Amino acid sequence: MTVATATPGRRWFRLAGPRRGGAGQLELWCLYLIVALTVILPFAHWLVPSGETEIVGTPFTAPGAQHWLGTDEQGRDVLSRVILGLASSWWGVLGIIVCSLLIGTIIGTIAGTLGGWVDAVLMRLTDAVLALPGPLVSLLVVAALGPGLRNVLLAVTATWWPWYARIVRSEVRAVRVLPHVDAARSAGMSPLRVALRHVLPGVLRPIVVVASLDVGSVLLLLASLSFIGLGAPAPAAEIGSMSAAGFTYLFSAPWVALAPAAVLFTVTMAANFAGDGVQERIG
Amino acid sequence: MTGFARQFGIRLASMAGVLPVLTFVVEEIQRQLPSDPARVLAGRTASPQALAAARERLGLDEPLITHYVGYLGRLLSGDLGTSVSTRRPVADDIATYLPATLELVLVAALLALVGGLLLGVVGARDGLTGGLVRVVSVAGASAASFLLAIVLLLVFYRDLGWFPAGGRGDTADGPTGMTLLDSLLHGDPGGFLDAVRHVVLPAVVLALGPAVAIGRVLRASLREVMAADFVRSARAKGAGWWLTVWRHGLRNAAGPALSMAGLQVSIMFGGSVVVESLFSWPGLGRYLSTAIAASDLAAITGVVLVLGVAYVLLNFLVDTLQLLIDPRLRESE
Repeated sequence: MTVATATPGRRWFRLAGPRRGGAGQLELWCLYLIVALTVILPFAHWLVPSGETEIVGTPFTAPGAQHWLGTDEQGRDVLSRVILGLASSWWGVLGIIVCSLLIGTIIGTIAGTLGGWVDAVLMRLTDAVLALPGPLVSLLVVAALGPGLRNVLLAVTATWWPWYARIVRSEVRAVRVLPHVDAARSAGMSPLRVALRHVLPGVLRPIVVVASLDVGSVLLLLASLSFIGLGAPAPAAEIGSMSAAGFTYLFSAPWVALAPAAVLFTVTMAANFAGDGVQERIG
Repeated sequence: MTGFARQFGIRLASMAGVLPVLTFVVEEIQRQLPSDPARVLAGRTASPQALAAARERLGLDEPLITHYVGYLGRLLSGDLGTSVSTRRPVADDIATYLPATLELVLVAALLALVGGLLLGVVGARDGLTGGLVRVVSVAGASAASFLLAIVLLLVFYRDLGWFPAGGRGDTADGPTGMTLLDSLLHGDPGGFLDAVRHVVLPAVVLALGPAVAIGRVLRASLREVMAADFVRSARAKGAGWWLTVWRHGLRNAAGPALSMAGLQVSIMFGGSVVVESLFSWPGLGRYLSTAIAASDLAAITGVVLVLGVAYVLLNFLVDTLQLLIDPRLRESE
């Protein structure tokens, strides 16, 4: 057993510390960018030059000094709408990952700790959900419940948690045979306390790595659902639906479709590099 | 062969277990709808008696199991309901649009395999090329299909005019319903070329994500194999890098990449929804997005069910293929 597994969670906050392996400066800067976005985007409504549905000029004004990314088919400022759309997707992504993490951790911990038939039942359930085509089931759920961010959140979470449940369960099974867990158990601690104080901290690391690698994929999934009309309904600013609306005018006013897609690309790429960085450093 | 039979049996059983779960989930979602299907069937101004009759016909007042069994029975006899927008049986619509989707997915799968192989092998090299491929891979994994479609359309349709903006050319009239195959079977090289020109852009867009994913897995396992002792011996005997990759590396590294390829190809059926509506490709995906716009739930469920079954079957096929290729998998854990 190595020292690293015995003292988990110690180097959490020292992401910027001494490097391990190939993680480079690029990953670090992307991580900073992602953290900055998380801090800034909640205040997007106060930061954007104009409102979500505010008409600020003639439709299809090309990008220029006044409107950096031009205006759309109704004369709304594309830049403002892209930022607001990004903010709402960002909340969606964080919500989905946090909810999936919670469900997955609870189910995985119960299965891993109790073992036996509880483990068997919970893991067969997990496998069954994993075997379904996730994005298609999400699509069907949103189509049935009606579009909107809350329903999208529900639908994607419903198919996303099993990945985390599987990882948590196998990590729990690995950690619970370590000596310090044995010691805690023989000292007479309740199973719940053992799980929360002594097993879970050792499980967090791998699960955070997987979650950080997932941010980009969930962003893209949300944008695709919104693109085919399953996001928030019409006047709301969303990356996918904005690109879809602009696609009709692609050859006369390419910026309307291109701007949201390009911003999405930049943020997703930063999230993917940041995820790689997190993996290299703490994984 | 007993190991093989055992493992094959396990996979067959788990597939047989997943299909009922899939149909059950789909049926339950349909049942829990906020909009009352009985009212849709009977009409807005229906009398309470007519509504009750519709409810009974749809089996809405039956217990869950009876309802599910009835639903399964209708499924097995090929009844997927009637589309509200096309006013045709959903099963007929699906039969019309399925070949186009299959054709697109097949071409894209081929592109993804070749692309993934290239990215994986070139990316496994050390130094600048490897680093460059890595950045390209992350970029590819970060591009939404609509971004790629927008860029390709602006460059190759608007500026260069090499490829058409969308559609599928002349509709297929041959035995397979796939324009590429039918034009060949009819001995029509012009039609074949036209079909190729139409399929290139959507197939590239559909293939990008999977190619990158396959490439990443292949690169990782190839790097591992290339660091092994027997590879070092081969290099020490004077075999060049490319020859070693070809002779020793790929064979030993193919397993994980193959299972990723299977997963990715089945994911393509989901990705085809966005890509087909971008390029007005007349397949199931575009049918599904028009159904979503029209809240045509029978059509939506039907397509999701067919694509979902395709996904499950394909996964099973890849599992079996791996079992045939890699003897190590045949031993039980």
